[in-house]
Amino acid sequence: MHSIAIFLGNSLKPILLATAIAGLVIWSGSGCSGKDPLIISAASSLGPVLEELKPAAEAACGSRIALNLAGSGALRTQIESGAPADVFIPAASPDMDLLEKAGLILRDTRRDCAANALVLVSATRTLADGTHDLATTLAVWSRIAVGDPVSAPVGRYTSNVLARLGLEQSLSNKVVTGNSVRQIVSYIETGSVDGGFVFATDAQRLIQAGKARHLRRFTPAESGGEVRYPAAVLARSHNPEAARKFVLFLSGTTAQAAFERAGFTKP
Amino acid sequence: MNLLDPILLSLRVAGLATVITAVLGLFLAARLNATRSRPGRILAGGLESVILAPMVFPPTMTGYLLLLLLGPNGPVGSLWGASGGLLFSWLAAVIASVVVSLPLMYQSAKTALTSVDPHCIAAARTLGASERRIFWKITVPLAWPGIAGGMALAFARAIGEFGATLMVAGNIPGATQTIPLALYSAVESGNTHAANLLLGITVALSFAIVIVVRWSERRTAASRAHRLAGGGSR
Repeated sequence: MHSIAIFLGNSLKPILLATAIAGLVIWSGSGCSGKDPLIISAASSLGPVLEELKPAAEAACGSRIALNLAGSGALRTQIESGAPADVFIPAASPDMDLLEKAGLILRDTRRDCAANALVLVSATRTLADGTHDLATTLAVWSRIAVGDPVSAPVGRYTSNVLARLGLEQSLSNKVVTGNSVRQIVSYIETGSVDGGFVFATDAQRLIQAGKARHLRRFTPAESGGEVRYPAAVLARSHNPEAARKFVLFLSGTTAQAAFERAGFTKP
Repeated sequence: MNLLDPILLSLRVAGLATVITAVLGLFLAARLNATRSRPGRILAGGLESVILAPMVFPPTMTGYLLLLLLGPNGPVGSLWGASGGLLFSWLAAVIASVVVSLPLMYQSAKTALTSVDPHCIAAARTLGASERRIFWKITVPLAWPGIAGGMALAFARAIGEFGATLMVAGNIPGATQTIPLALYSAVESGNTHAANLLLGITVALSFAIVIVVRWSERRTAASRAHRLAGGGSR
């Protein structure tokens, strides 16, 4: 009996301790909520630029800012379910179009804040130079990374380019499909493919890291439309005034310079 | 990238989730397996499949269901009062972690409780102990190594939780960005330095958890051997 009492004492102590810690943690967590920040739901590819712009943006719109970074589709689903975001910046227009149709954004605040372009790069190991004809270069490659046309925006532009150049059929047994542009970047970084189609911003990072070589940049006409990043204030924003100022700030000179440094172009 | 925030938040979320999961899992395991009547057993079976469902669902699916549940129009979120329901708060991350880690805790607790020697319980009953007293003074102490193992697994699952958390809590640095979400952001933005550091922390945490699980397994084996040798409840 005595030994059981000791055992019980030992076994209950961790539970009591854990409960006490948890209680303390909840109490400390709920205590520090000041004025609610503006929540910016942005495509994760915009993360580094927006993080860099945060202090300037906070000064410009007079409110604290919190970035919520995920894939454009997941962010849209959150907003449709009533998540308390203030500004939406997806990496592709269709996600914004759907919210606009559903009346979830303030229509007059929508404006493109950056643009990107589709670029073909080769992994450094493969020999190819920029003057080569595209079809001959691709013919000697054995593996090419492309985005999935359904789930990755980069894939949609890529399939437009391939269709326009009549290469879809000849490449069909060489393509390695990635679910996001990030996956294609990893394939190229690790040298698992001979090359791939990525956005100009990704290409810039790959080239700076010495992992890839620039082959060709496609025009909007070739890739079937410009790659744009639209921004808009959400209809349910708790602070639409500050949110409007934030969207305007993104078109200003400070923000545009930062976008340009990261490889984006003017919309 | 600030690495301290995600670490502290992850420990806070996983710690609280583990406490809730442990209490809930132990209670459900004891309650659902004590029913003897036929309708009671059918009901318990139904409830058990609901508890275990998140193990089968892909995390994004669990996240989507929680999004509907916790959103401002959902049955739980509308009770909360805040404009966005429970979404984008660290409590949403706790709820997501509880939902995905409960199956592990429930299953471990169930195995641990059923492996307790019924003779010990019967002996206590002949001595006039109440059912509540038997549960807390005989069953739980004897099943403790298995329960502790379940808690370690639940903590591990909560620490690694990504899909459902991303959907309901968002990925807001300093507010709801846990270690897995920070890792995702670091990889997504090509910040290999931060990614490697977070990876190292995750590996260290998982080692610690494995040590706890192995310790509890040894304790289970040892107490069983002790009981077979005739010691223990005298």
